[in-house]
Amino acid sequence: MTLLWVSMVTMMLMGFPFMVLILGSLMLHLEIAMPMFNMTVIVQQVLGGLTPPALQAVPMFILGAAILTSGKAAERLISMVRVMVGHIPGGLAITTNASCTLFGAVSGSTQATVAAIGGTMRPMLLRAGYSSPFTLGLIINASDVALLIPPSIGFIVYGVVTNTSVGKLFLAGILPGIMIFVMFSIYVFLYSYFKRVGVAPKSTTGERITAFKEGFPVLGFPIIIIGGIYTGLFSPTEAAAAAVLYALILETLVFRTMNWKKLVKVLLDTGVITGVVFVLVGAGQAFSWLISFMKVPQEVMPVILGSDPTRLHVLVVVVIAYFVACMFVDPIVAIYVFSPIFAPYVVATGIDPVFLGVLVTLQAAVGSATPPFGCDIFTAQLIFRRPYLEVIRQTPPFILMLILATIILIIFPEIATFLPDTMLGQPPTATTGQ
Amino acid sequence: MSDDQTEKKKKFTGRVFSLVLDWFEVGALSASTALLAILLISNVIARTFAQAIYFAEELSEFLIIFTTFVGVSYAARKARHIRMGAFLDSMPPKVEKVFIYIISSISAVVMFLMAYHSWDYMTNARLMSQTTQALRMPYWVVLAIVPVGFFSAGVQYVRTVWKNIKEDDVWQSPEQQSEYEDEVVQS
Repeated sequence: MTLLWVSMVTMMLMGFPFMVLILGSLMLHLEIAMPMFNMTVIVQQVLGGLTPPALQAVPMFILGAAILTSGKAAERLISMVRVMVGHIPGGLAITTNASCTLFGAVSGSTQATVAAIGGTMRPMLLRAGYSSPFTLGLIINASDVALLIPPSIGFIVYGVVTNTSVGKLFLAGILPGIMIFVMFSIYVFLYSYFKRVGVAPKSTTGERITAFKEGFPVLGFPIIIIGGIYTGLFSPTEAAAAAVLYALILETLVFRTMNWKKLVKVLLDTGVITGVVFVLVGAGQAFSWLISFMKVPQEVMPVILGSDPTRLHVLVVVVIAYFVACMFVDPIVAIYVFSPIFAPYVVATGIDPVFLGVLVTLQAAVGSATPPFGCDIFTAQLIFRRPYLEVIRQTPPFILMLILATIILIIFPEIATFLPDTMLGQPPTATTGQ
Repeated sequence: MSDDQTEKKKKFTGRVFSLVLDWFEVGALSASTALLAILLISNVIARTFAQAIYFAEELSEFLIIFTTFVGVSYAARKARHIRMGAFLDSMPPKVEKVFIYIISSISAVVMFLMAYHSWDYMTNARLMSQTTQALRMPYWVVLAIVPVGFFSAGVQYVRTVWKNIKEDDVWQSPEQQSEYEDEVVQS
């Protein structure tokens, strides 16, 4: 087993693609530990990982986002938020925060959000007088919080792996996501108020009405997705399909930005991201299987947690494990590796798996933005071509807020569980991933 | 034929091969994504107004398997696979090149091994004449893309090694220098 972990960590640090290091380490381990082992089981596990119906929502959400970002929707949404709050201190920063939250969730990876929203908003923020490190810290962290706002791929994968209702996870992420959005907004408001930067001229009522009219249809998405799931009308997969249909109608008939060439590009991009994400999901499933097969939880966990851990003890260990892991690896990988290890303890201490899903996804957000290794830092460094120290200088306040949010959530789990507990109906069972 | 001509012919064959592959992968990825969307949307409509399409779930599974393994190869060709590139990207180019030789060679071996095992898995399914539940089609047909995708990805990693031997620059994949640049669109 040691060889397995050592080879995986070494390969990860060297920069191997995750799917190669997981599949390679798996085969190497089985070859040495059980030379007569029938390797087709790995293939079976990989394919088994791809087939849960709830996963079919992933490509649909990616497609919906791709259609919207290729057209006018993102731009109109940004300008709608900007004319409303642009004139108050921190208004542009709040606009960035809101855009990342609304659009990041569906792009498939936080890194893509850093690139997409950051690319548009950073020049505007710099012109408004914000310092470069501040804009970078804001963009990195706001993109990560998008993981909590539905539809989030992290939730779908977590739901599939732990047999938790994806619909409930979606609803559970909303309030914590809004809470963090508010914390960030207060911070940027105070920052900009005391530093006297970032105030844009107030928009006229006419401008506001135009921007609102143009951006209004985009708000149909949260209504379809969250409303559909909350009322029990749609399963997450069906909500995703409905969102795609709505995005298509919006961009072809209302905004008239879609043409055949664009559509093919959008479909191709979606196909590629789907392939890249799903091969990880399959490899993750195979790895998860090996962990259970080798009885790792039974061997490792008593050492860390003792024989009779309390709820808080388990939560703290889980939070730290995900936090550290997500600094290095994609959240999907972390979820597949850790979920089977922690599952028995989570059940034994009676922790609500929906609540835990929110906590875990939040750690994925914090981990990927935390120096020294958080992967989004390096993405930002490459995309914006700024030195490492400049990128990380303003991240600590955001990370402290995220840690504070984690503590608040552990003390008041109701923030996450309130919405799913009051869910009106159960979504159609066939496609909920149960 | 002189050496020069042979070289040109080789290059031409390589270009044609890569164009055909690109055409196939791009077509397959876009078409299967479109089909999946159409299928899922129709199913929502059908379920709301009448009853769910009985083969929808099964067909979506096949489409996802298909997309995934075409995507594995495409992403290897375009340096799109998710990885932790922090250290690799900050290395001096000469060291980075050495690492890419190691990474690509091992990746190629892993991909070829996976291709071999999935070929085995497919053959088993064929010998046992397994059929799918709803559509009753032979299961091995669905599985055929798995060894093909892994094999093709392996070839792409071999090509990456070759590309780095031939050129002075660092190439993370045979057709894309790094994952952060815009995609090179073949025309």
